[in-house]
Amino acid sequence: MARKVISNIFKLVAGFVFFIPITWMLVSSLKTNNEIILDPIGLPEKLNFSNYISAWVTANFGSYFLNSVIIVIGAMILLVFVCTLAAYAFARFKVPLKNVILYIVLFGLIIPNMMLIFPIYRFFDRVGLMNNLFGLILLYVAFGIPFSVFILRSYFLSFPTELEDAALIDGCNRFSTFFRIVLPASKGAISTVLIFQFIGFWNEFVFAYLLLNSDKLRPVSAGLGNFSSMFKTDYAGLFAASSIATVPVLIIFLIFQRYFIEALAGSLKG
Amino acid sequence: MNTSKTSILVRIKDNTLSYSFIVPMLILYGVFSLYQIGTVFYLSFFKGRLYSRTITEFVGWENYIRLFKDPEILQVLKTTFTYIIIIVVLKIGIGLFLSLWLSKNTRTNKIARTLIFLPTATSGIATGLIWNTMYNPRYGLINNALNFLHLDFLTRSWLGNTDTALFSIIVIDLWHWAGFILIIMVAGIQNIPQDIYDAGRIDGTNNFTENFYITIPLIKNVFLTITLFIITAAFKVYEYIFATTKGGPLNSTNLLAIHMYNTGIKDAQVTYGSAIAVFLFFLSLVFSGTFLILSKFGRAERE
Repeated sequence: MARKVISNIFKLVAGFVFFIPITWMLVSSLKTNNEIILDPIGLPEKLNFSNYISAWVTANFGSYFLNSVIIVIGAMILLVFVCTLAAYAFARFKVPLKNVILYIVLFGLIIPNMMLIFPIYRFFDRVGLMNNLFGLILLYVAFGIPFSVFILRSYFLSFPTELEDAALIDGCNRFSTFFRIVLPASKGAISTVLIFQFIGFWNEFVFAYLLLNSDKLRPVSAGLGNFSSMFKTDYAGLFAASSIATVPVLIIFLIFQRYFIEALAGSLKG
Repeated sequence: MNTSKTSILVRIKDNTLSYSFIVPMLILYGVFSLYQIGTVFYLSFFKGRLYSRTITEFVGWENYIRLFKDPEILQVLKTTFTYIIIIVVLKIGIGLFLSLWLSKNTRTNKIARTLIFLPTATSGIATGLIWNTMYNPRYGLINNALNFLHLDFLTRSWLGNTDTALFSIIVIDLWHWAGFILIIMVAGIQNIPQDIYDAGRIDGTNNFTENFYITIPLIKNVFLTITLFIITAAFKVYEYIFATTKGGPLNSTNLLAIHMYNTGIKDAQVTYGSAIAVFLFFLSLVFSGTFLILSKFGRAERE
């Protein structure tokens, strides 16, 4: 019994060690710059939320946050629409060259997107998508396709066809069968894809920083990039801004953790 | 009556309709991924600057010849492979230890797993910035905590020192992704049927030895998947370094991805940068291919 208690305490300590950097960020975000410099590991004298207000208003994180929301929601809606349709066709229909197309798409799983920065930078510049939120949304959707198609296709393959057959016999066409029967029954698989991609889209930095160089359009991740190039560092502002960027994802992640873990376990089997 | 078991869905062969399901995906993937992959190969055979809109001077293999003669690339590769070897060993070691320790679904284990998994949700850039402040020699958590514990002799400028900078970046990476490895390994362990452990008990395994006789051999394929994931991720390490050392001090943290980015964007040598990108692509491909073959081989062996 005592051994069990001790082992549990060690486990919680190990877990807490991983939580230290987040604690450091949250605690420091409530301190003044003076407190951070004079007593770096102490607690704040009083909870000081002014860092958040100045990050939100003066440092533009309010507008970055709104841009993040627009980009992430736009990309998620488009991604689900595009990928469920395609994954369904891959799972159900006989299409010429289907396997070739599927392999080309799944090939995307091993392409490091980083290698595409130069052509994409030039492409966005030439077609006028630079500093365009919608351009970034399209790019994110394209990057999300291989993984989403992979997960959704394996779900549709395991999903029984009887319901769809019945709907077709009753006179539904392919599209209405899809939207009225298949989509509502795939909420679980779609949530898995969405939570995975939500985190990826919200956190994406390289392309957002490069392709949206107008400060008005930047999402939070790219906005944080400003802090890496400042010589005179505003620590309190940095901690508050990082918290603004991080805490919403952490909360959503905690709520939907189950789906995230399912996606990981699922990709293991594939 | 139709006696065929095939669903009518599959039997209807209306290609136009079927393709209309796929086309939106194909257009996006084609334009923003496939076409761009083609372009990076194309650019690597030309000469030109980032901001010139037309790149016309064909130079053949010149960028690649330069790449293989570039002493800087050699240093970058040495750093990158050092990083990869250390990170593979540490991530697998820590991930395996934690997953064997925390694999059962008790409440404490679930809490610990969640806490370790949580960093996965933070962005690379926020992670880099937070750790940058933690490593700060004067105001950072690490040196101040060491002083507090009277371990002053251990304090140093973690990121400003060529001896410790790369390892400090590795620690950031470990913190960020250890939970991810843990969750995948736990999923692998939980897939092992209980009766194998029961049979092991009859043959004399105990709580400790069953890890070596049963668990580890049975999650062999999970190791392959994870190693592949860790290596390909290491080729992409960018944000932590952007937020901290930017490749320094003295290039000691100049990994392949950051070097490629700096060559193409900061120095605006976009065509030479593209050659580095193609090189990076083939490195990832070689590793992915090797591991795919290995895991197929492992699977065939078991069947």
